[in-house]
Amino acid sequence: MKRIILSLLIGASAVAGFAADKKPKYHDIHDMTIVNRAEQQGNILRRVDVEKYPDLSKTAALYLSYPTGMAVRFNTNSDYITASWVLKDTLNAPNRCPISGKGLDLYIKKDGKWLWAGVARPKFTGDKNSYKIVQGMDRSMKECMLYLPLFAEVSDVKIGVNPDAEITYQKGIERSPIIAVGSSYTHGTSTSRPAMAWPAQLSRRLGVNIANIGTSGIQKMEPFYAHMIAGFDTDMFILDTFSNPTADEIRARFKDFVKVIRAKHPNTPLVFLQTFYRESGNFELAKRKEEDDKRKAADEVIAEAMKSDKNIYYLKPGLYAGDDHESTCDGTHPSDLGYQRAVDNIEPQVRKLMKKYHILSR
Amino acid sequence: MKKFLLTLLMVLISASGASAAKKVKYYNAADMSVVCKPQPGKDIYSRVDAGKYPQLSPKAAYYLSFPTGIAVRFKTNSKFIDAKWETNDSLNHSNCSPVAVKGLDIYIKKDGKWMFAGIGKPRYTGKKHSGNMVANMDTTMKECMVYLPTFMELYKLEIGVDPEAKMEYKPGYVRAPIVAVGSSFTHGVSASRPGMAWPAQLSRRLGLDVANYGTSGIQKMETFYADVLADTDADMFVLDCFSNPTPEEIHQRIAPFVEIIRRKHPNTPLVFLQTFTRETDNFDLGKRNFEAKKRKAAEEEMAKLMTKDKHIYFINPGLYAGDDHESSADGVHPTDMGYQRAVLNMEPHIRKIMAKYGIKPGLSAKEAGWGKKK
Repeated sequence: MKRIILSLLIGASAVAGFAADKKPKYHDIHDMTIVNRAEQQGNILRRVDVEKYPDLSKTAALYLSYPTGMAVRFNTNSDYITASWVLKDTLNAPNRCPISGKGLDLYIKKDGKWLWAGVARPKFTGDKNSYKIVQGMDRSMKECMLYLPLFAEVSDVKIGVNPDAEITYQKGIERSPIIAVGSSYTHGTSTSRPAMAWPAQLSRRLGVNIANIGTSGIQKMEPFYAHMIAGFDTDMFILDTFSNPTADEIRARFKDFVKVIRAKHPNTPLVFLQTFYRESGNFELAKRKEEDDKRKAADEVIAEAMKSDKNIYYLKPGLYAGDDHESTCDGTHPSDLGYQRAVDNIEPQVRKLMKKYHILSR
Repeated sequence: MKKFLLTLLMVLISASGASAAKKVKYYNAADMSVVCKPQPGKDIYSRVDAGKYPQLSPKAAYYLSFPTGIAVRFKTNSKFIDAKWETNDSLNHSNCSPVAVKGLDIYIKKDGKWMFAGIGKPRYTGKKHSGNMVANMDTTMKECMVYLPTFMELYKLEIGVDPEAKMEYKPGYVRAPIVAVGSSFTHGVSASRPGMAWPAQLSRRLGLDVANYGTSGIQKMETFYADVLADTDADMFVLDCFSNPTPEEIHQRIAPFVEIIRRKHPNTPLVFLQTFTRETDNFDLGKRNFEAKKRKAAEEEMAKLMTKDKHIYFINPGLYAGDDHESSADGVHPTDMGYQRAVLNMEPHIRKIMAKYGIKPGLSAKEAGWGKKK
């Protein structure tokens, strides 16, 4: 009962913000511009049209049905922005802030750069959500980008603005010149909000769309990933593929994984990231050894591949979350503190490669 | 149903780490040393005993019944450390990781410093939790510290080790020389785990216990808070009191607030922290204006008080979470990134004041923390 009253109170205070305004006018995001998606055709509420890839594992198909990494763009001069959205089959987990798993995250352009503007907080449990993201703004026209949830299927995503305000958008899916592939580290587990996964952070810094094909815990370089990725149209792949497989799997699978991608992308730069240091290895000897073995296997297969393929790169350390041992939520997954450090480490190296391959910022 | 199955699966997966044959001996954490608790009392897992201060608002009394900031210490040579614990389940928030709200966070001493070792992962919803926090360790004797949940009542906690292993502890309350007071920023809202609230981080960096009286959203310098502080035995108070009140409340309340504390603590340093910049200010003009007024009110009042009380200090910026606008989870509460920045900002100021009052840190600034200094 106490819980109900508390939730009621929280609900009531969130709604109270609306009281003075006229009802917001809602716009479906289907008519807007979608960015950071791997393919330019298909269901804009999903990263990948999973039905096109019947050999995906069940979990991979589920995870790739989430809108992870994707954002929707529109312009408005409304003094407030609100959103309503419906979640399906949310994968609630104790080791992350629910905002990142099933909430929305808004950035607005200021002086040519994306500046954080607000989040839409989901309910702790429950499928139907609405939330006022930002209010009290001046009435100048603003470019907005709203990131979708990292760990939930969504439907019925609508953006609400003041009925007196202008809102403009163009329907379509933009191409992503860079596509990130990887584990939970790429997916964004334990981030505080959707825009803090590293591909999203890197994308804002570089001014380039980056699609996120991170699938938590299950990116083991299986052929079904390689076949799907090979079909994506992009200028660069950044690959966190040494985090989930065992050392043996790395040795057994790497060559074929690259071969399948190369069949469709003969010269596209493949930028591999060495995996991260697990804080659970601070005292766990077996874990430390297992991780050392993985890193060694990755070093070996990459050295071999780079001999014959001059468009393969290796960032090492790659997913570097600092050395103060304070940057994880749970021993494996970084908090935002770790994710930002990883981006600080990756960014200059990716910039160099973008230059080399003439990949332009917007 | 599907959701239930997923949860079940996750529980099974996390439980599978503890293999079927594993034997575990459990010890009641209430018998261990309790550190970073702001005052002694019979309610080991509460910051303040129930009913001790009838003048507290019901919400403040409720929040102070959480074990926020408190940790238990023990020594063991067990290869693994498990935990079983029971919490309330009433204050789940979408802007906090459940690990911070109702989970556990274990540090182990290495080379004289506390190093992160693992977490006790709670269930997403539910009151009874259990799991392995760290496994496969060598069998040297280790000093361990388990931080308790930040935002939920804790009813029971048992620490599990190998039945063959040694387990040592000295029961009892250990006085914290520094006591932090404040809002959600001090309470630790949106930290990823209990050990990342700033008083806990600062405590590890100083090598000195820091207790946490943070009460999210409601620290408005009411006289009942001053009564509790006056009644608290400490060598220094660090105060985040300008985050929750309005500018008017700051003007009206700070003088009586300090006066009540001063009756019992005539010369104890009171270190006030300027409030943080809210990222909601980026576009919300109303909030930006309101926050600027609060900061101004705090600055005016501090200037006045400092002319007559030479044991009052003002760190400005105090709760400084950086200027890249990326450090907040929800526009108000920092993530670990913001909390670490705040600690790195206040630490040198606090060390200076500590030196002045002869409060000895366990670690020097050079020794604090791990990793290369950048």
